[in-house]
Amino acid sequence: MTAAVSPSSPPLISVRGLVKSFKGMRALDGVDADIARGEVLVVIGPSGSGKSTFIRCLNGLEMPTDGRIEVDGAPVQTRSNRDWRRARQRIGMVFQDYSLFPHMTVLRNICLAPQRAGVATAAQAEETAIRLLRRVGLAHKADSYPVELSGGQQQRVAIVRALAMKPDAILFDEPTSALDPETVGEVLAVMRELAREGMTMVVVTHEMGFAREVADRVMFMDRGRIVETGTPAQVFGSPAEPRTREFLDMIL
Amino acid sequence: MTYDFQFGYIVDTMPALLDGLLITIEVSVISIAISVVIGIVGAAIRLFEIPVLSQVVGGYVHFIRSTPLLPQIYFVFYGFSGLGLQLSTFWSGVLALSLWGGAYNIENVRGGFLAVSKGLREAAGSLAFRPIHYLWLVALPLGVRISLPTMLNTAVSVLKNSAYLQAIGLAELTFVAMDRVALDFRILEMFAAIGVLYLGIVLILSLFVRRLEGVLQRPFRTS
Repeated sequence: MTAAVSPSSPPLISVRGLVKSFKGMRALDGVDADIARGEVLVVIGPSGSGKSTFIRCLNGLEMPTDGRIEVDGAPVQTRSNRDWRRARQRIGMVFQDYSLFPHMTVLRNICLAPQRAGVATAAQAEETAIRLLRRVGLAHKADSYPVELSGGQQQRVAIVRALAMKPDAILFDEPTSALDPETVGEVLAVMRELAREGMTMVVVTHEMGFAREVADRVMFMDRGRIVETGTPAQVFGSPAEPRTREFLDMIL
Repeated sequence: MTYDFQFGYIVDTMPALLDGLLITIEVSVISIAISVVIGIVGAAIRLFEIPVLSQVVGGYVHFIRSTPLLPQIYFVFYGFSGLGLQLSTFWSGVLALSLWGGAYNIENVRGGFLAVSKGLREAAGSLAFRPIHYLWLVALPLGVRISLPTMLNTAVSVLKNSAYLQAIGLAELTFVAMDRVALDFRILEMFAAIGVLYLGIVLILSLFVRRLEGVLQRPFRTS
């Protein structure tokens, strides 16, 4: 199950020496990471550890101060909007607060981007949207507005919206942190199924149960650095670093 | 001595007043439309912080808001023709009012854009939207909804300020009324008449904007 990085298949996303400073404060302090095709990487760590900044750098929502990012072997010019737009067509994102467009129906939320980007015609986009909505159990909500949906439903729509672009990978930035406890499960179930189907995922989360069960690798970050990376069994079972143990003792 | 209010005088002058009202409505509607376009384009330039243009827009807004309208009207009417741009009285008036209302609308619309959550802009970005698509499909419908009340204020001000255009000889409603007052001294009749007419068109304008607001609010109503 662990997707090892073999020399024959370059990592889907490769990061070297990533640095991000906010007004002199180093949110990311030299991060190296490779994410293989089909891999589920779960990023954990205390708040302020840089984990959100890390995945936001992966699709250019934060402009790295320094470092290199490659998507499928092609370097991204981190100052070029066009390069990022191209990368973002391949790397979707799901946000903590869902960020659905409130003035559009569920269907339009999903269909708009693929049409704009030329990924699909209007008819194709709609067909894909309905099929994906059916899979997450929300086909009957296609004509609803986001405000009429629960948090869990909105987040499932947000996942479908990302999927509709047919991305190679999806980034999840604390996708269940804003949800009522009773709706967390329905969102995690959708993510679990995506993982099973082989979607490449980078997930920042506090859901340790999900990390343990679904992750191929768990990456523990603290103070803008990667403290350790390993299989869930390694990181949760026998962490190598005292800092990791300390963090896990605190939250588990 | 009590004033002898002659209602019949209003009736007699009504055709002339309605001619003036028509000019007022024409100059106002065109100016409001142009000022909305200026507002949207200017606010977009500021939103995306387009170099140079953004500073130009900022300077323009500052200049218009820091100087009285009347000299602005004179400047357009006399100054522009001095610069070789020959405009009729009507179009000078339209230009002056549009530039004035446009500056206020830039701030109005910009406020609306800034009130659209940063998260939606990021979501649009992460879906590979171009900036123009974000503007047109997200920022504009959501931002305009927020700034509609202040834009209505500006529109009403443009309409009322069209009265200043009598200074360059445009025969709008106030001009016509003042003209009659100078001829016949029926001061109260004339001001009562134009008061009612101004109130009426402002009311119509407000009702129109309220309807628009209703349309833009529809997705946000839970039922």
